[in-house]
Amino acid sequence: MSQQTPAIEIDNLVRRYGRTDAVNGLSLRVQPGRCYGFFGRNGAGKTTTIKCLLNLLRPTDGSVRVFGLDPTENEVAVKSRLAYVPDHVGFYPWMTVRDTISYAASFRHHWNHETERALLDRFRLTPSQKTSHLSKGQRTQLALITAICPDPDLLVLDEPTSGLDPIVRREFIQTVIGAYQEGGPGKRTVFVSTHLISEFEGLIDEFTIIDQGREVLTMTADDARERYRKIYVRFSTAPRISAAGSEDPASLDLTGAKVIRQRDRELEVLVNGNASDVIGRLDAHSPEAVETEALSLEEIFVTTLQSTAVPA
Amino acid sequence: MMTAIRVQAWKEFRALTPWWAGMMLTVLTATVLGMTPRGHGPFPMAAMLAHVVGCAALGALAIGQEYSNRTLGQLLAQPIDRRVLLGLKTAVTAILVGLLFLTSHAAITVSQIFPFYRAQGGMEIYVYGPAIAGLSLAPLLTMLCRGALAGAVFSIALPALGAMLASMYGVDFATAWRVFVGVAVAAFAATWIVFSRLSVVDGQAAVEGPSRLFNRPMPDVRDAATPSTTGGWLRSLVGKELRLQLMTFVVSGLYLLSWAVFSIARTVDPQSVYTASFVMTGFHGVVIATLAGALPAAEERHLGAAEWQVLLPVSSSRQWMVKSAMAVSVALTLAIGVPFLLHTIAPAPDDLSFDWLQVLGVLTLTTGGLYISSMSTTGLRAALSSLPLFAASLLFGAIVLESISHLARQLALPAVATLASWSGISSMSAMHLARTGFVLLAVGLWAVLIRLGLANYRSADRSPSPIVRQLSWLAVYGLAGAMVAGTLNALVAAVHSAPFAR
Repeated sequence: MSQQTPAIEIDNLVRRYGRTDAVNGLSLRVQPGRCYGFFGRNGAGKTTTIKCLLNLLRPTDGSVRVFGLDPTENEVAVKSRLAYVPDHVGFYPWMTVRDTISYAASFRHHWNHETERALLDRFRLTPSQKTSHLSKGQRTQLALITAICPDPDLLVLDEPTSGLDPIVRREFIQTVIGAYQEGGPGKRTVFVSTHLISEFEGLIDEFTIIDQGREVLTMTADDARERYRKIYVRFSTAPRISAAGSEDPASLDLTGAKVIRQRDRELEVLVNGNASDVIGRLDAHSPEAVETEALSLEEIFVTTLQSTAVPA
Repeated sequence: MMTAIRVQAWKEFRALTPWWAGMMLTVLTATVLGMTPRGHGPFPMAAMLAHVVGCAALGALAIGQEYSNRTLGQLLAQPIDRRVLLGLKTAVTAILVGLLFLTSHAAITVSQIFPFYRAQGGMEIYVYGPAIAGLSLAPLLTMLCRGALAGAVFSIALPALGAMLASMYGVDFATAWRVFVGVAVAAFAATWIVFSRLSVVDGQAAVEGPSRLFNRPMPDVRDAATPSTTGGWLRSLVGKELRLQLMTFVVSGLYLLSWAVFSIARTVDPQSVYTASFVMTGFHGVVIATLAGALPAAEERHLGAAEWQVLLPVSSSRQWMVKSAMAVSVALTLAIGVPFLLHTIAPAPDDLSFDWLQVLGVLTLTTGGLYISSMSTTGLRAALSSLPLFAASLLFGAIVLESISHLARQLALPAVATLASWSGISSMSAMHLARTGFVLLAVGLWAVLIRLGLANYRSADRSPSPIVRQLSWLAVYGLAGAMVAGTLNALVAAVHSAPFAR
């Protein structure tokens, strides 16, 4: 298989439950070695998409491929190369932590014992403890150990940090996921669906935002930060913003920008890919100060899904 | 406040009514089918089993549904007095158990097919006892075991064990009955005390499983630092499947214990011991075959481990085949093998016989249970759904399939008679051919059930459309099978009536 074969390839995916379209014509590609964010509001179709990807749900239409393989026809080949950590994970209650890890290992050809020991220590999980006595966060940690130790090429995470305390969450994201990807640079792929976008900020290379089963925005994180910017501007007097179509030269023309805050002489606007144009128009009114900063991914997510999106 | 109570009462009815309706359907169907000319056989036992299981399940589910749905915390956090909450649950359960009791009582009283259950305190043991235990013991045991399945099983098993011990020590029936009623009253009072102090414990409480009694931490047989080894997935799967069948083994263990008690008692005084090996073995066989099929997939889903399990890198079809093979093996071993062995070692005084029809019955119940388990969210729900669904299938078979089979027989008779005459087939060969055909039809049914179960097992889709499609397939198979069965019957009839029959 060539290096260019996408780790995940989804084309026009449609999945219906009765008359409800959970996913409606979604397409995306994830290149190997990337950390891909998959964002959306509750009920947007994220988990349904992931279940189609894992062959837990049959698509109503469209196709899904993992490493160029159809997960239905090449079930074992696909499952051997990926690992999944769901939002709610359960284990067999009669097994201890050690039993569960051994059980998962028995299905694998390869198991990284060094990683296993390191993660058990890091998460302070007691091997002899019954899984029925683990907290939700500890169960997620155990799921992560059984997912990472086989050194899979693709790690699929569905709201993995819900239920984790802030310290473990930070460690989980920055240390464990980061270290996992660094263990196979350019090869190991992470596909993460989460609401806690800000926590994954530094890891995400590319992302897709979906809403009502449809793709709303797909972009690399760098491009997104470049395009979506917040401009803070202060004038000597309170500015007057022109209405659409107005040609009054004394008022501010903010076409292509969205005002998010206006207080006396200060103004805050969001722009999408036309920062220099908007700044040029603001400069024409001789502001006292103009500052710009990139939006965080979470702000981009909120901005994108708000009813009045920033015009491009 | 009144609105909250009304809503709560409606919720209790809504939660229990489907199971109550299923058991009512089973009691009525089995009684009606038992009254048909060919109907006696297992039908009275099926009706009584539905009554016994139904009472225990309704009592257990009254509180057990909160464990299964993980809603106990929400329930207890409501601004309603706990006594009111339990009062509502008890009232709703009493109404439903009462209606089931009245139906079963009427069936036994009116129908002539229950002579055994009317004799020797049978009404107390099989009708009154389960209703009382369902209202008193089942809720208490469910809270103590933190699971509806264990609550239901033990609320049947403990009174049965008590009855056997009373019988063994020569306690007369009236005294034993008074003790049972006394214990039930005490259990009813204890239910109120336990419910008023009920805690919602995270983790363990959320797991229905067989029972917390069986989930206690045990000393590790292996060193906790032993590194994990790869490979050997089959052994891991088999071990896991056996563990999922724990409640099946517990039920069979209680049967074994009962047999041992009876055997010992008989050696002491053969006349004084009331024995009912036929009923006991029949109940045991049906319960084991149903549980062995109903538990494995549904319990795995209930534990939240189903998707994690399916995504392990062994094909889901292999995992399902191991699951099915283990369920069938456990069912045959415990439902047929154990009673046969016990009967060989310590023969029962009443007539116990074993034939291939029982094997077919066990396999049909187990594969049917597996199919139902593949789309259920808890083992108890799967087991409870099995009985009414089997009853509905029998009703469908008795009304629709038998008519089609009869029609096919009439239509095929002339052609089959000509063919039989031309080929000169002997009546022995025709019988052999027909029997083989019936067995193949049964094997085909098991294969279809297992194949449809696989589709549910590997999919996270819980919408009704796949289920409707699958039931249509089963109906088509039933219709085709009825036509084949009718033709086979025609063959046997033609050969028997022909002058060339040898």
